[in-house]
Amino acid sequence: MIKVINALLAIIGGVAGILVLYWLLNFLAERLPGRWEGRLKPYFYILPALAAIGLFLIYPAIQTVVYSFANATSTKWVGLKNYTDLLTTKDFQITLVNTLLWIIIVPTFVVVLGLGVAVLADRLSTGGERVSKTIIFLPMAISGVAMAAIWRFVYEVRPAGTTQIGLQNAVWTALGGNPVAWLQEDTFKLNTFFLMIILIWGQTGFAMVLLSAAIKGVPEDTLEAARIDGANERQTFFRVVVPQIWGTVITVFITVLIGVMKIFDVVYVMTGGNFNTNVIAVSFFNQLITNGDAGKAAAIVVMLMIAVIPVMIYQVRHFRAEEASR
Amino acid sequence: MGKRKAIQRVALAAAVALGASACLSDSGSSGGGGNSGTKPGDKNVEIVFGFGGSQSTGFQQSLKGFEQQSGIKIKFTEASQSFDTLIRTRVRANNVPDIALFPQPGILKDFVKQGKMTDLSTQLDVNQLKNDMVPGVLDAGQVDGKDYGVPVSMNVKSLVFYPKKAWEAKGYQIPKTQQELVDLTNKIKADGTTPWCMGMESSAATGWVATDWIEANVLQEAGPDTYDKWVNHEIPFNDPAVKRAAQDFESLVLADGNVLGGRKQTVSTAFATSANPMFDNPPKCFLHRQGNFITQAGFFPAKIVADIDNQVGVFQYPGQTADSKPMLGGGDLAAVFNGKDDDTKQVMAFLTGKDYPGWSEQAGFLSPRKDYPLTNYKSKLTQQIAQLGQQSTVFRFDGSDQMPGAVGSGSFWKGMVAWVSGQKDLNTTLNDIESSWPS
Amino acid sequence: MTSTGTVQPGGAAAIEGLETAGQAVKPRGIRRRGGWFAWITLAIVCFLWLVPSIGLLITSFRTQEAALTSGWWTVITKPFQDWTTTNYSQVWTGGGSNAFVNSLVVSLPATIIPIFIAAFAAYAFTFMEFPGRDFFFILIVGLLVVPLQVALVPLLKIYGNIGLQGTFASVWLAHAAFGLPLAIFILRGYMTTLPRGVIESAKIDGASHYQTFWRLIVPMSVPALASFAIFQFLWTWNDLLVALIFLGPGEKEVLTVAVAGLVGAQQQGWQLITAGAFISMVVPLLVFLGLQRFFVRGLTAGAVKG
Repeated sequence: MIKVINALLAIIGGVAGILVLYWLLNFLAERLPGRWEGRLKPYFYILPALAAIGLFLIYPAIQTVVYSFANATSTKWVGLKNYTDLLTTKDFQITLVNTLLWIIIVPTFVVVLGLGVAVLADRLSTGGERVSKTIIFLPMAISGVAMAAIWRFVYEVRPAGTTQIGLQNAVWTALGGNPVAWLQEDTFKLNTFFLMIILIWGQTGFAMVLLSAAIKGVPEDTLEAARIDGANERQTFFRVVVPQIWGTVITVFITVLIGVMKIFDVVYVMTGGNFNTNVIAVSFFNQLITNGDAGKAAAIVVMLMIAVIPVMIYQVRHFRAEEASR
Repeated sequence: MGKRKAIQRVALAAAVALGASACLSDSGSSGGGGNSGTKPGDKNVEIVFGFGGSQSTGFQQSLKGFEQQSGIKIKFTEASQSFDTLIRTRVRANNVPDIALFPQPGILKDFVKQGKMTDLSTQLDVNQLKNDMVPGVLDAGQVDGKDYGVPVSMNVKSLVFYPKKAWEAKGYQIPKTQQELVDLTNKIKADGTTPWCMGMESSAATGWVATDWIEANVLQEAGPDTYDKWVNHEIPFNDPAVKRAAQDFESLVLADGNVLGGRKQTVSTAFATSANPMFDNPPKCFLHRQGNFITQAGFFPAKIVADIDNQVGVFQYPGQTADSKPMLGGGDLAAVFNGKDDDTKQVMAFLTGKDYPGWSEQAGFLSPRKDYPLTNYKSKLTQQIAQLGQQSTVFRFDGSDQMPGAVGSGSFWKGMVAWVSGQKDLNTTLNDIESSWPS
Repeated sequence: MTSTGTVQPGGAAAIEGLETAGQAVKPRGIRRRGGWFAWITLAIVCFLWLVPSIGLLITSFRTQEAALTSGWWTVITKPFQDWTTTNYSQVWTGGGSNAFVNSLVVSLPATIIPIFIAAFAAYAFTFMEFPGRDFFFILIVGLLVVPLQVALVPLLKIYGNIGLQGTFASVWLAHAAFGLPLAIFILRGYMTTLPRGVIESAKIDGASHYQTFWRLIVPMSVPALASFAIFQFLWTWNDLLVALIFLGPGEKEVLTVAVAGLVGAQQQGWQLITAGAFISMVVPLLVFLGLQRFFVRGLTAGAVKG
């Protein structure tokens, strides 16, 4: 009981501390002489975020860039060797190709499915909407390890003649096929697609939640106006709803894309990167933890950081265009 | 708003903020203890280890008596499934425990090279231990002739299990040499049953089952000297001895009709339960090579485990001749980070000493000491396995666990997966592993 | 501080919208009801989505042996065969209420703290002009790709030096910081879609940024804030790595660490993970259901008209 009270006090204390901090910051900003108030206030608002990120992310990120030019234990400079070593191995090239496939396919499916569910659920009764959204959301609440445990019971293979306990092989053998080790089938990257299904299953709920929030924010009168003008449901959706939620669609797409760049658990636990299914985050983990090579691990992270810059520039341009158009 | 009021507000806000942050640190530090490592002589010792479940409970139990007697409080940091991540992170951050139990000497050797570990001759009477323990178990913890790791528990892997009842009904005989094992395999096949059961799938660690096979073959075919040279990279990884070991494994187990499910599927078959068809009626296979851990609950079917002495038979994976009994094995090596703490010395002395009970109530624990009473083990099967371990002519620590992580838990595992599943041929596989050896 | 008394129309409307959101679930007659197409499509998708989860649920009630010898779907023909609740009791006794409370103590502040920090930052990035705005934004969001693992070593060093290692606060701060880039990104994305006219008119009415933020932006952003709260809660609740390294096992162990400790070195006891998954799923689902009432049409409509 004391523990629970302590916990409550801790929670309230933590939250109150933050609120007071902002009140103080704003108070200080407003005490500043005239023009300085306007000039400095934005920095006061982003200061706590920058401070936290600076210490917890920027400092490690800078350190990572430095380490990427050093050896495994970060004791000697090696120049670009980590980069060239990685980029010239065939396994790493395959890894890059796989990661590219992941970041093209998964976000697309996740956003389209999430949007579809959000739109359709919006048209059900309140109860129907609540139930269907909860079901789609459900996989998000399952931890990575448990997710692997259950998908094992989908792709599991047992020798011919014994009972199949994997769903896919149970169906397949019932249809007359021989048991297939699905995660080994790398023709047309089939096994990579099987792994992607797991992530799409897990992430669609994410897209649905955000897109649903955005759709609910579309003002009724704009929809009504379109309908009065004689637009059918599909036209209303693409001409009225989509443009108004486009900002959120892009935000969700990029969020999922960045998440996919770091996709780790699913591949690590299901195949360990074998059978040509390796992805970049698994390589990173293997370099850092298995091989104890901080240099190569850092080089991989730096490549990710560089790869994400164009995406961010696009996003910022989009925001600017949005601002200008209003 | 007046100036005074403003000042009052700020003062109030500051007070609240202060109170709130005081509350943060308060609730945070209550329950205490959790800082980095422990100080010498403070009667606190932290041990990091990588096993969970009943092994972990057994391990913690085994130190209860010692804690009471010595007044030393032990902090058990159990990093089941995440040992490598935790220990690598903490070592890099200079936030080390007092003792860690390394399941793989490879990482330990890495840390030795970085100067993080303590020479155990300053902590223990290592020469005495060499007499007391199974010969060879200490070698794995050595770097440049100095000892850095001592096993607390050991395991043995050159074991072949068989379904006792069906086996006796068929009248099969235990093979004493490799040739006899080959003949037996062919006989079982001729009798209409697939001889071997094998599963390699072990999530991110898939591949170790095959590396164990190769190591066992190198050890029994080429002998311990070549084995050591291979493990230490004094001969190349793709030495002809290794190729031969792989080919013999291939013809014995991977050949058509020799393994249940066929060669390719073994890569996707979970190692933990791959032996279970052996206990079907009639058996779907008769032979399964695996470490002694497989006799714990959670692997063989529950009704077999309940009656293990009558259901499961075991023999040592045979050598070239009947007198050659090489044993491949492993263990959790206790190693010391901070060597200046007398409390740590006491714990280490107890863990490796004569009176350490271990967790023999649980199958799966074997003591590395020769003077450990066999009667402590619960089942006849475990007693028999312990005896095989003590009587082996040669004991060698799992080679892949000793190799650098990039090979031992990297390219060697992955190479075996690619080779067995048919993605790469043997020569390419061995050459690729050789070229992945860190310089 | 002079305009405290005057509340601008948009703000009032927005707050009104928030208050009515609870009852007026869906304005009738405006939105077309979906026909059979919406129902059937969603029914199929929901079924497909549920299959793996149902498999997990059924498996969690089966003995390890049953799970490994027959497919989970076979229970449909012979229900309650090899049925067991030991997986649940073992997880509960192994982790216990202690770990459950610890998980809450970690997750709640680690969810709430970054929301406020991120909301203020996102507000500045969206509605304020200042030099370096895009640079800081790109910097923050670019950090989304930095894997957590690279931050662990420096953090452990810092925590060790200032004596924060092993405290709940250390995990709150770490989770808050790791969650911030995503929070700022999502919230800014949402805030740019808010009608700018409302903010402009508030400014004309003499409202300060601080007032605009609390009276207008926060109420209008509730769906986005709620969305992020769900994700951040899920992430901190299911996290193993950060909790293991900074809190460790023992007195302050969280649920994930406790469950991981039940699994042996050779994965024996994995079936406990299925039960553990359902025990730990309860709280995030409650959070989701609780926050779902904020995803309601009409929440922002009032503000737009104002």
